[in-house]
Amino acid sequence: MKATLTLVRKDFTLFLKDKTAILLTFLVPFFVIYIVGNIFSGAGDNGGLSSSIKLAVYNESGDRNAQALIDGLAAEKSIELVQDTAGPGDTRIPFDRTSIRQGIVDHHYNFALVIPENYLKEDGIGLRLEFLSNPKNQIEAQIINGLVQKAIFTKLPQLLSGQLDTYQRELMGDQKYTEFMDGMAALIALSYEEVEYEDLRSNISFAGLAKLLSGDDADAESANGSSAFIEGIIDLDEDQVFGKELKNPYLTRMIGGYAIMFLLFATTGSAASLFEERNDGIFLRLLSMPVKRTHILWSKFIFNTLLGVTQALTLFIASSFLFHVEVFPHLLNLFVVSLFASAACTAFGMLLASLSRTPQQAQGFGTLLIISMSAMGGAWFPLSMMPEPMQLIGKFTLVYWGVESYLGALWEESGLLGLIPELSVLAGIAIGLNLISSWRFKTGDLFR
Amino acid sequence: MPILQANSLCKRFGSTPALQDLSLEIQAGSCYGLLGPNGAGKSTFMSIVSGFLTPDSGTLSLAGKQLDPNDTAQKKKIGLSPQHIALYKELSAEQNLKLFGKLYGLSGKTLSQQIEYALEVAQLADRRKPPVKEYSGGMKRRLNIAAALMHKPQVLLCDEPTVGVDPQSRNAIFDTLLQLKSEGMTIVYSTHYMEEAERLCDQIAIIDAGTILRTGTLDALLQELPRSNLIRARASQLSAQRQADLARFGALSRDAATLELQTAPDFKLSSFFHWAEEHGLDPTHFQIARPTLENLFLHLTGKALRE
Ligand SMILES: Nc1ncnc2c1ncn2[C@@H]1O[C@H](COP(=O)(O)OP(=O)(O)OP(=O)(O)O)[C@@H](O)[C@H]1O
Ligand SMILES: [Mg+2]
Repeated sequence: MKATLTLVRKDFTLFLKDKTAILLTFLVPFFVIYIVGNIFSGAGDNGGLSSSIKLAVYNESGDRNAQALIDGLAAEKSIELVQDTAGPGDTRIPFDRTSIRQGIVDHHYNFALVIPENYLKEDGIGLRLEFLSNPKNQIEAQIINGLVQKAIFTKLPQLLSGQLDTYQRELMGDQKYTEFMDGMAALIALSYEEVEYEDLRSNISFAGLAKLLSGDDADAESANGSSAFIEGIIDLDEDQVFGKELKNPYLTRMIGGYAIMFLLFATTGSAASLFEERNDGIFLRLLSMPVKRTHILWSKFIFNTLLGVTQALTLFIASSFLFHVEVFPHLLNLFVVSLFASAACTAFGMLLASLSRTPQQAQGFGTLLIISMSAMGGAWFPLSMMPEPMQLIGKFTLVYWGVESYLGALWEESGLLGLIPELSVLAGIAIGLNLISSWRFKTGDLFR
Repeated sequence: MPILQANSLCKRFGSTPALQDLSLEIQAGSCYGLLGPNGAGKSTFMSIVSGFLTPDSGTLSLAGKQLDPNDTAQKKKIGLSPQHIALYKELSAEQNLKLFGKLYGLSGKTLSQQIEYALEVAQLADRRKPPVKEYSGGMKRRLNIAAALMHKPQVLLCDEPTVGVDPQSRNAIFDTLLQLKSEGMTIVYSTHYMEEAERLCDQIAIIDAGTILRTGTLDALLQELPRSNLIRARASQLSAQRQADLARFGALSRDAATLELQTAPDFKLSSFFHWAEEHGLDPTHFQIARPTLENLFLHLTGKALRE
């Protein structure tokens, strides 16, 4: 054990001597997260999903209520609305059906929303919207879909205003409808002294109720007194509507995957360092001393695991500074997850070294494995986007369990106890891979 | 009792035999030379003794006890200076020595004393701080040896310690090794160069293709050569008559200025000098070229040593 620690200390001394290595250790995670962050969150510090996603909108109906939907979309920070196209000279002219489609063809934007002439369904309650897209970027498509849905649901009462009451009246019959509304108003007025029955009755309608329930701030403020207490009764939680109230949900979802991939690539480097020492003949000298192979392997494993943890944490902290991913409240959990993930990834690197004859082999073989594991294990995009059988295969990769652990720590905010299953799998992977590689090191080429 | 004894060591790398039935005995306090060409198995032998490689068969004992690579106490009795510079290039001489000393289990005062001692041996006491990568070839070589001395081993294995070293550093290394020997350390020294073996070693083993062909003192080995000597003289110092006389001692050849006499098998040095004295010739006019280990090697294997 003492020999192992002496060797670990040596590795740190060597590391600290290498200014470039130090710089890279901390810069590379920043760089990686800067690129990844920009893919998943656009301009970055907007605090939203992605500000750079363009959405073209054309209100064919010209309807004022439909315009509310467009306003809602415009209010969305992550969407950049495009409402016109280039006309002759320097002018801009409003879209029409042909030009808005052409914009996608010409790659001006990938998504377009058309509110058609007859956007209200005639045979019941509902909307008919047209969504054009170039699904080149699955992630963007998911984001924009979510945002459009969010806008539609918040503006639904306005969009459906007349329709809703007409429909209810038809369904219940005139008399029943009036009785219901009278009763409703009376009930509310009874419960809340400050509300006048007459006031309430003249305003109350299904559309009005829905509108109040939508919690739309701008409208709620302009509405009369009744909105205040309805707001009090119903606590509208935005979280329920759209994921979590995270500043940067997409990046938060994806960052774990990138951290794992990053760790994996870093460890192929550590595999190469084993070869370096062998070629320098250092192993011969070390093993002529009271040092055993296991001491050397353990020292490499410990050193690279710790270095990996440092790098992973750097990556997370960078994402906090650059993209406001909520990292600091979860720092302890992230540390623990990073420790397990880094150990598994390092074990993977050691296995590569034990199976390869040259560092080049380790590197090449490693790159191939890492890329395919990352793709299958959900480091690049959520596994749920993949067909079922692929999802199943993904679960057999180290990457999957790493990604799940990080998701647990950052997204689901499970405590350490909740992470035990994932962490156990990672620990199991680390132990298993280490067993295979120490067996391989006995018979392999590294120590001859 | 020999301090190191090898019995029928065999080691193969795949289909390449590196050691074949190698046996030898090394006396405590001696300097033992392993003389052989590239690929003879010198480094393989050293690696086995130092515990890096395990032999396929055969036994090896240190001071009468079977050598066990897991026996820390035994390992501390052996020091290896590998053929290739095995130092951390980014670390300074001092840091390298400190690391190796710690791995040998030294600490505290003993550690710092030994670092000083090794720096002295390596003549690097005033260059202890720069990283090894900034050292000259000779400095690295000296440190490569000194690092093996940190724990005061009983047996020092020096695998070709003078490769790529200038004459000055080479002399420094020899002085160090002779000093260590005089202090009672056993040295196993491998080399291609017979002058080195001659200068340092009490016992020489001629090794080729993984086996020891001959062992013995230098003189004893040279005894094995057929009594054939080469005698040279300057032509100008001998009259035509005396030159003709020389032919009775062997085959005479001459180029412009030099006479070369390849002595006959029954040649006797005493009768040659008797003849010279008779004719009032100064014995210093004759240079007797000694047979070399190279001659011996050629004789034993039919090939040159440095091929
Ligand atoms: N790690 C190895 N893998 C395969 N073959 C090896 C290995 N080490 C040595 N050999 C082979 O074993 C034989 C003996 O090699 P060794 O290094 O012991 O020779 P040497 O006497 O030290 O030569 P040199 O004077 O060139 O250092 C050679 O044929 C060599 O090719
Ligand atoms: Mg050698």
